[in-house]
Amino acid sequence: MFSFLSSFSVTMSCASFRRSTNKKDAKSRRFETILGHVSSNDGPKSAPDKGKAQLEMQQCGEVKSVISKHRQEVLKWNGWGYKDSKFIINKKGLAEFVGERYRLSGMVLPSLVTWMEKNTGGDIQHISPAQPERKPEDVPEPVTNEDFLKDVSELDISYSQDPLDREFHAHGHTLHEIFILREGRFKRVPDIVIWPGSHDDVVKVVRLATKHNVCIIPYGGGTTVSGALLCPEEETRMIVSLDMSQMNNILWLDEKNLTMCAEGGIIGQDLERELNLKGFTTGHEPDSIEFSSLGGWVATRSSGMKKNIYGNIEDLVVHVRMVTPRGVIEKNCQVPRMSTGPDIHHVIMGSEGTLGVVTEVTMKIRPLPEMKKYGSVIFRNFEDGVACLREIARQRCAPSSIRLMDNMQFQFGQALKPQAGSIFTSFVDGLKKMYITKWKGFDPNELCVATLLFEGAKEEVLAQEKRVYEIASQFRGLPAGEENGQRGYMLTFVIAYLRDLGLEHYIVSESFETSVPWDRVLDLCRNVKERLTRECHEKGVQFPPMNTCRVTQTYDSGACVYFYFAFNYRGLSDPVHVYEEVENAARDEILACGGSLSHHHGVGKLRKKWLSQTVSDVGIGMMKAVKQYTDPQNIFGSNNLITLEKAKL
Amino acid sequence: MSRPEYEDILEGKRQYSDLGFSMEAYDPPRYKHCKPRTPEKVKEDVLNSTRVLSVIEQLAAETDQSEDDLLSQARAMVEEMGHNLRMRSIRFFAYFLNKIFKALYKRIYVNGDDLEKLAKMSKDQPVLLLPSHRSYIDFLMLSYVAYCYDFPLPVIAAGADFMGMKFVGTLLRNCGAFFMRRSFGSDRLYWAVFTEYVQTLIRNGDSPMEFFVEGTRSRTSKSLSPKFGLLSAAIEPFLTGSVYDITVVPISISYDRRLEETLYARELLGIPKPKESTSGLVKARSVLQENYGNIHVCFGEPLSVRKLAEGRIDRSVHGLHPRHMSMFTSEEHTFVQHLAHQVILAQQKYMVISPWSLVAAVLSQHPQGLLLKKLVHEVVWLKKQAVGLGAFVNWPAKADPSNIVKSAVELHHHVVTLGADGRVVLNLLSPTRPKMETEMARKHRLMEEAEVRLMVVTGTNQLLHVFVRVALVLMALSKDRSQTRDELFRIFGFLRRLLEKDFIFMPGQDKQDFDTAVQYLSRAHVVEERGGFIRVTDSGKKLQSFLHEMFSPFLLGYWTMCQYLLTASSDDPRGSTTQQLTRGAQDMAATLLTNGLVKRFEILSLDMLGNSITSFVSMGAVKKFKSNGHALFLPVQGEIFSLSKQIETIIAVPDLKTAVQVIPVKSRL
Repeated sequence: MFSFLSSFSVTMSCASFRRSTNKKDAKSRRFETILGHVSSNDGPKSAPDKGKAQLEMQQCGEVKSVISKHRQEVLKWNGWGYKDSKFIINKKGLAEFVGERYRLSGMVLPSLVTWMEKNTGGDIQHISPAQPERKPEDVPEPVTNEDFLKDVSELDISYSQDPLDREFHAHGHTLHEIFILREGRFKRVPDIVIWPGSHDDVVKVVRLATKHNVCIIPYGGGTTVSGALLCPEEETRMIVSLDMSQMNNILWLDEKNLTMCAEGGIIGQDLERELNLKGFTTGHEPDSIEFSSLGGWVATRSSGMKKNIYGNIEDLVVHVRMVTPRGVIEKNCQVPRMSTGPDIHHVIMGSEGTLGVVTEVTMKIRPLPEMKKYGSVIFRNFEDGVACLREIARQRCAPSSIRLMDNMQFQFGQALKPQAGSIFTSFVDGLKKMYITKWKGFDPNELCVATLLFEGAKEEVLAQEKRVYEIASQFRGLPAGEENGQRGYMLTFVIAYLRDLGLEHYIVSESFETSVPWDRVLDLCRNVKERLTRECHEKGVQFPPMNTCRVTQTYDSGACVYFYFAFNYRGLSDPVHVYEEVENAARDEILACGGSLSHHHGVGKLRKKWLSQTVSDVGIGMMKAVKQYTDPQNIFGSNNLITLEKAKL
Repeated sequence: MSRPEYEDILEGKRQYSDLGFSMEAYDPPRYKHCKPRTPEKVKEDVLNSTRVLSVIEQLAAETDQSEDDLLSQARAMVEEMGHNLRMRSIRFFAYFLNKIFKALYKRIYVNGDDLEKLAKMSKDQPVLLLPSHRSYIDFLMLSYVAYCYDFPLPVIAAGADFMGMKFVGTLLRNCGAFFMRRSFGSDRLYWAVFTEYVQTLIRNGDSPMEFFVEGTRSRTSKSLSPKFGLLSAAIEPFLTGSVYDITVVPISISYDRRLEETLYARELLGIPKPKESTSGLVKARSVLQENYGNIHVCFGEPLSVRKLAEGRIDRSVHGLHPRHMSMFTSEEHTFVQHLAHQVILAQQKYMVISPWSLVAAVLSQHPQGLLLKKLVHEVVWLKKQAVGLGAFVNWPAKADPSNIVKSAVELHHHVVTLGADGRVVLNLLSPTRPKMETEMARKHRLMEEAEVRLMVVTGTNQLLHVFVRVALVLMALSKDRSQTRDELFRIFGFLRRLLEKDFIFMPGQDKQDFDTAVQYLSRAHVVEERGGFIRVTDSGKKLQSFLHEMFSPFLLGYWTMCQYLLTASSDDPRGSTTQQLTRGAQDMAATLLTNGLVKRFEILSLDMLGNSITSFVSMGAVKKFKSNGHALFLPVQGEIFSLSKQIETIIAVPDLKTAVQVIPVKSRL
């Protein structure tokens, strides 16, 4: 990775992103940036010109990513995250998180196994191993469109038809997909992976695909949990997985306007690292930030845990370029707001790869906060906690992040307590169990915890902290320390690895989310949990499932609720099918209780069947009309969101 | 649930002291999401609810009342309404009821196993207990049974008319009764307070909630058409996702003999009902000297509102409005109506038919009385028919049928007597009639006779729901010629529509009802179908004529109303009230009876005559309109005439032309 100047200029700092070999002086650098703006102002007609400007700017910054081009070199081919990081059961029969990347890495978690066994009815002795490393012959033969392939090979764009590359691009991370990797095989995978290096490369590939009637599925970070990357099995055309990972440059940074422009393929952690080095942040932190990409965030309408300060993706995006079969769509200016008919950004955001591919995004940035402080509050019960969050939202004094875990999740956090390390002292230990449970009368089976993250200038943080704890005390909440808060956020990244451990022991698990008005939060949580439990029972699951939820975002008029759900599938012949039926039932329940189809995971293929009831038939018709105009040949044929009638294509 | 298994709950208590019983440990299960509250806290929660506060705000803006005034009105309402369920009262009440019930009844049968299962379910979701309502005893009975089985005591929606009763009102309140005004149609504040009161209890599941879908006690012993208001309010928390599910339990309470039998007969004839008062109850003490036989309390199959709504209701529409605003979609209205009907049909299904009901049914077709032997023979035949249709008859398998009949007669000695000559006869006054009798005296004598006869009729009524569907088919079917299925269905449909206020039919299921009835009759060889034609078999003639007799009084009553509307009321274009019409038709019926033109006293029942008006309204033969807040009715002569003609094709009616002099032309006014 290249290094940054330690004392960066306080004006335009595009230069900081240059390789040290770049010899241009500050003046010319500034000129380039301005050129970029001017060319943008030329509007969509001048796409070729803009291509040129873009090429120049590209030299402006090149980021070396943590993730390699052939992802399977660094990432698990059949599970979550890095190859070197995972939960194992060690020789003593205790859970251990191996690797070196996380704070929990290398630690033994003595209570985890017992907890898992107790709450899922599982037995760590029962092992359901995954199939061994994939052999190339297990991957379906590619469909090849020779003319397209010939034309592509004549471009200077990297591509691969290697079976393992192709299979890696065939999926996201729903339970269903991971289960196929572990125990089965995909019926349809992309036929070729193409790695464009620039906006122009993308324009060329899309043009060729349109010419030869080839299907494109854009690939960002591959972390989708909506089935959005799955190849439609009935697709007979050649399928291109357009891997955006090589388009990961930060093109420029504009300190005056506090914006930066980066290519769509940059992944969250790379973007944040580079910006942090410059003293900035986007403030956008979805839980998948380690692996998900900027373009992916835009395409799914993602949300970050610190949205209270920085906003969600729709608040952060200033400008987007998207290449569609019809041409490039973008606005001609980068302004904070405009009244120019329906906002085309809102057609792009959430389009889930069905209209085109996002090549460049200009996003707001903020100076890194002076102070970052964690915190936590312990409540007697979930009801008190929700009431407190509601009040905080009403007073609009929510810290950067505020999350409320239910009792089950609180206990789960306890079970993830490692053998040593001060940061990992359990909540109750840290709080002197006696004091909380005996003196204050908190029931360990009822209490729940809110984790807090404050960011800002020191006085602001301290004042806000005081105010939040004051409100919490009105709801009988007690401050429970910084460490507990920090630990809560740290665990978020590690929890994703737990599913793979569960799968080794007959436990399937998944998470799903929704947004809901404040007055229905409690009812929705209670009813969805009840539904999960009853559906599992009715579908023949032998053991009571584990279900738990947390409120992860607060808004003026409602909240985002996140459910984790797991069950032991011993005795079931088709656990994934049972799982899907149960999740479908839970989604029906969410909708019946006034919740949404999705707060930030998106629709993909998994939630398509509810979209028309969500947005009305006219709404679907509008989406179809946009699709029909933008992509009449269905080149972006992932079949996410809506199902097109064959006849129209 | 197949056949309920009953146990007698009084048996063990006869050897045990009432005080001991009332001090027993009582620790019922509780709904798992319930946050325990005192009755006072419930009232506070109601007054602080968004529903009530927003209505207060609206009313303050629309009228000249201040918010404070309205709030104190709301407070008065909730005080008037609120229950005050408390353990002390429960124990007193247990003591008191144990004493009374042991004195009044031989046995109280309960399907205890099913109740125990229900107790387990009551932890998982709020429960609505929906009993049939044929006696005051219903109120007390369920709470008593609940106490016996360690089942949570219900809160009970009661009519506000009980509230005025000193002591009893308080006792009922302390035992969980809450009170609703009989009519509060336009009072938005009352509606808000009441709805919130009901719903907060259901949302929090403080106690199971008991109310009567029929709205009031059925004097006739037939199920009444359901009321939807309270049921709608009670299941709304499910529709808005405030609770996961609601368990609805239809409960059938069957009596061998009701305490109020005489009272009811008078009421049906229009002899005014005394206002509920404590002194009235005390006067009724002589009532307590009698033996009232057995009671069966059957907890029917619990219904899950969630399961019933599956695929029929889209609850997500309630995401579009604040939940304190009640908004029912048309699907939800239909759903509630169906649920209410389903509950009543389930109550009917598990009603236990008392032998008296069979005896009464036979006797009402033999007003001169019957030899015991003949009576027993007929009763046994009828019992077989009823059992064949799935009725539960309280008929001990090993007992001698004539003993069963004799004890039924004995139990109803105020109505019938087994004479020394071996005949069972109604307790009528001497049939000799004075030579010179005034019109008044004649009518008075008629009413006295009618009182006894109507007690036989209410006995019979317990049985009617078992037969009504097959009876309507058989009535539609000509005695001596075959008919096409379509023709039969058309007449069946007409009768079903005509009588839908008197009997409970699931709305929209006329075809199913018809098909099921015809299928049953074919299997039982009562009818046969050949080449698309249906006719009654020789062996089926007996059932046909018996059921024809059993149900024809309804048609006769409706027909009488037709005649009344055709003759008397046609000249008043301003319309008449129900009361004017039923009284007028009753007068006409009385005249027909005293002149011997008709024999069935049932047609004197104001209840039946009132039902005929409702039915005529829904069939478009009578127009209903409002004037000064009163409902007025105006017949549509042509339609009434045609209805009358249709009825005449089914039952025999007197020829009024030859008897024209006996019909009072303006008896109505």
